Amino acid sequence: MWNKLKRPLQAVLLLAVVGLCLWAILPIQQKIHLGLDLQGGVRVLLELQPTDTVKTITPDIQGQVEQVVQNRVNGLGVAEPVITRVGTNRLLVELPAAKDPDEVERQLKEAAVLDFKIIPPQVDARIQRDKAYANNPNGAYKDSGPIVYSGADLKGAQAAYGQAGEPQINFQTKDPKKFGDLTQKHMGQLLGIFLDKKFVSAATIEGVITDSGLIHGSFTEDDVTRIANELNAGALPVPETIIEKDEVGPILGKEDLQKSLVAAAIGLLLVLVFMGVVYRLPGVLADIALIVYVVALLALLSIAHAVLTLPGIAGFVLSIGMAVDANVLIFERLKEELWSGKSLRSATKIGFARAFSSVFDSHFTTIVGAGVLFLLGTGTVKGFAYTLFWGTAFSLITAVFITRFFMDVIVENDVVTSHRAYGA
Amino acid sequence: MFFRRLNWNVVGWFNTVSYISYAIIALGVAAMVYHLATTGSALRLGLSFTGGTDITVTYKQSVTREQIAGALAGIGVADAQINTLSKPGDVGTPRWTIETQKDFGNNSAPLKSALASVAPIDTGQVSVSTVGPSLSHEYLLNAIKALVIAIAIQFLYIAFRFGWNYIFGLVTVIALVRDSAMMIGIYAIADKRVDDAFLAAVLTVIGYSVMDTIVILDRIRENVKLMAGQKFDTIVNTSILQTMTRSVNTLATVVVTLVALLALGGASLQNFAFALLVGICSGGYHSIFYSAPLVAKLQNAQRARATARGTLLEPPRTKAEARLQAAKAAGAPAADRDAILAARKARKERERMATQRNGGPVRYKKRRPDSPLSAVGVAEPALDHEYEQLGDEHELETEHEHEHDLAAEHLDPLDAQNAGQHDLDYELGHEEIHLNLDAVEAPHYTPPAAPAQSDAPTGEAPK
Repeated sequence: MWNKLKRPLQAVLLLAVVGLCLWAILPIQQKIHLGLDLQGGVRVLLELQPTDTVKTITPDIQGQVEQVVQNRVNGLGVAEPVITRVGTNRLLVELPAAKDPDEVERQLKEAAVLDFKIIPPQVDARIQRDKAYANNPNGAYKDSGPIVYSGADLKGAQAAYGQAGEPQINFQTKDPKKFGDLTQKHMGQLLGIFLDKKFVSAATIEGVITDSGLIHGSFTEDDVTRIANELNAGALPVPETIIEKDEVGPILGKEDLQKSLVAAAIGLLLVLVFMGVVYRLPGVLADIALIVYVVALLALLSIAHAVLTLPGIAGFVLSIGMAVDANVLIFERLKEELWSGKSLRSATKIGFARAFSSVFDSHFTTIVGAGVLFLLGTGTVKGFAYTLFWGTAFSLITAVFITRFFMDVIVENDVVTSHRAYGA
Repeated sequence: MFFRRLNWNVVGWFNTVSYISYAIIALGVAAMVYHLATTGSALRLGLSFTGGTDITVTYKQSVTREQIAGALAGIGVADAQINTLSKPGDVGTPRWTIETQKDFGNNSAPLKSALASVAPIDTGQVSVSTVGPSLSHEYLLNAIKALVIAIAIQFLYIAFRFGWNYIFGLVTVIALVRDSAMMIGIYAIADKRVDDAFLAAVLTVIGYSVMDTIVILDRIRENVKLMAGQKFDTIVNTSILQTMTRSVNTLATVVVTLVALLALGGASLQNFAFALLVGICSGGYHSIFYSAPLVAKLQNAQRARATARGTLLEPPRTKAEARLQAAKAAGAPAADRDAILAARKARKERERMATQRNGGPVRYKKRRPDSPLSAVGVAEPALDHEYEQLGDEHELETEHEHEHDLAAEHLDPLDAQNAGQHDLDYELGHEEIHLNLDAVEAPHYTPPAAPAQSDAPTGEAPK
């Protein structure tokens, strides 16, 4: 009973798996996500720097920064931003289709710490004369009085235009009483506004301000939009530095994608032809298994929401070459068994059984290399390690079991009995 | 197929092969010394290990290298390597790559505007990658860590796979170190950039090389049983020729895909494909022509050493025989005989169990008469002769003693061995003797279910 049903059941299972895989990857443009290096975009690795006040970067701080970065990126209006925590003090920001990479860089990095300080008249005089002094954190910022109000106490900020049409920033306070008391106390004095410890503007307090105010300075339109966005997103609790950045123009990415896909297709084709020519019937069966393998690996990428990167394609192509190694081992063994005078059936059985330990070795050693690389490699190399790792693992299944299934069906039913067809 | 019919003496080529790889590695070292003297760094480390900025720009009109260098000097970049991908006379847009060790990650705007000051830039075809100095140190450390971990895991796996066989383990590790050395050497000679992609290639090649070597070593191990009694060199040579088709075909499939990548994959993949190509070819070459013959060399050396020690202890005959004689002389043969009989009984029991479990010995017996392996073995008398001339006398001596042992009918050497009377030969790696004797004794153990010789082509004389 079982023997009769075994092969049809296996065939159904195989078809079902292939069908599922095809369903997972079609239409391919929508299901397979491309990495930033292939579709263009910006990838930035930020490292949070400890300061005098924040000595160690705790997961809490990392979370706060992540939130701020998230807000700022959303403010940029970039599609599908991905922000990931890396280690305890890093953030990976991936922005596909970022229009202006330099703008992204500025937005991500600016601490956007807004401080209100009372500026003494002599400091103001020097600010007017000396621009470098105004921008120096150890200059105007240091010489002014203590912080009387800070950006963290703002409720919101908007880009706006002044009476003369000049760009300015409107803000609302979170604590109207505090701001009211402050303006009352310092009435007639100069209230200076510092952004990231650089002087922005100053105005004489002429009345009690409670819930809203405005900042004007020598801003451009872009500046006010950016600063308003940053103020709304919140100030960064600690400064960040960009320790790694990859920026790829969309045309360049597309070009790389096309070239590597052509290379992959030609590589695959050459391997298919090679196997067919050298191993004949089993080679063709292995080719079918190889195609199943390609579909299965793409399905994995689609289901796991992994992105296909350029090094990933390289790993994929390499794994195609390695995937057939299992078949080469098995078919060489099969030929040997046929030469030693065994029947086709026993040669098939023994060929697969005896080659298995070598096949397993070959896959295991490759998987070890790919696994280590995935754990310790750089960001770009991880994509290579990922496809090579899963590719090798999958090919163990396709090259051994699927080829085996086809071979068994053909051999058991005496479809092709000539030993020549098996390369022997 | 093709390779197994060749009458190549691969083992005999060992010296030539090792000189070739030594020469390449020596050239690589020389190139590294030269680079160290001229540039201060033995290898041209890539961006990921030195930190810095790598930018590709595409101009809308053609510009010269001097113009770009001038613009870069204006922002204090003096170390830039400026290369163009478009060949002279190319009608395509002039694309340039600029590498500098200055980190523009936090402030790439000045770099871009400096480049844009030369001529208008197509912003869709710009790519910038930067790695900060702290991160590059981390990457370099991780790279070294990854190499050490990968080699350690491969080593453990080999040890597990070959049951702590000292020679096989050593050979595989030597092959793997040698492949890494070859890759680094060739990179030094070609003055190519060693970056994270190179590391990925080295790790992949290590896996590949170990796998390739294991396949051949496996075959040697199998043939040691099948071809018991033959010279070890012959066994190794036969194994190499038998697995060569497989090695070459696997190499071919991988090389074919890599060449496709190298030729068509675009600039960003070329460095990577080149590293893999060099490494995989080196791995294939070494596993066939270096590692396997090295097994024979090491085995012979080990045997020679052991024989030298053994000869001093027992000059005329084997230890077992000498012990038996000594026992006879002492007038107490019964004890030995009992021990031998007990050992024989135990061995038969063990073999019966083994046969039931996996039919191990049966398949050797079955394969013997018509196996092409024996044909190759017989066809090598010249080889044997050559090696006997080369080999040292101690080794020769043991061979003859061994034959004598086998000829002795009054006492089963295997039983002597199992009774611990034969440990010298045991130590020399002759434990497979019993498999040879199986051929004579096997009929007792052949299960009736095993297919008879019906499949065998008739008319082929058994060896």
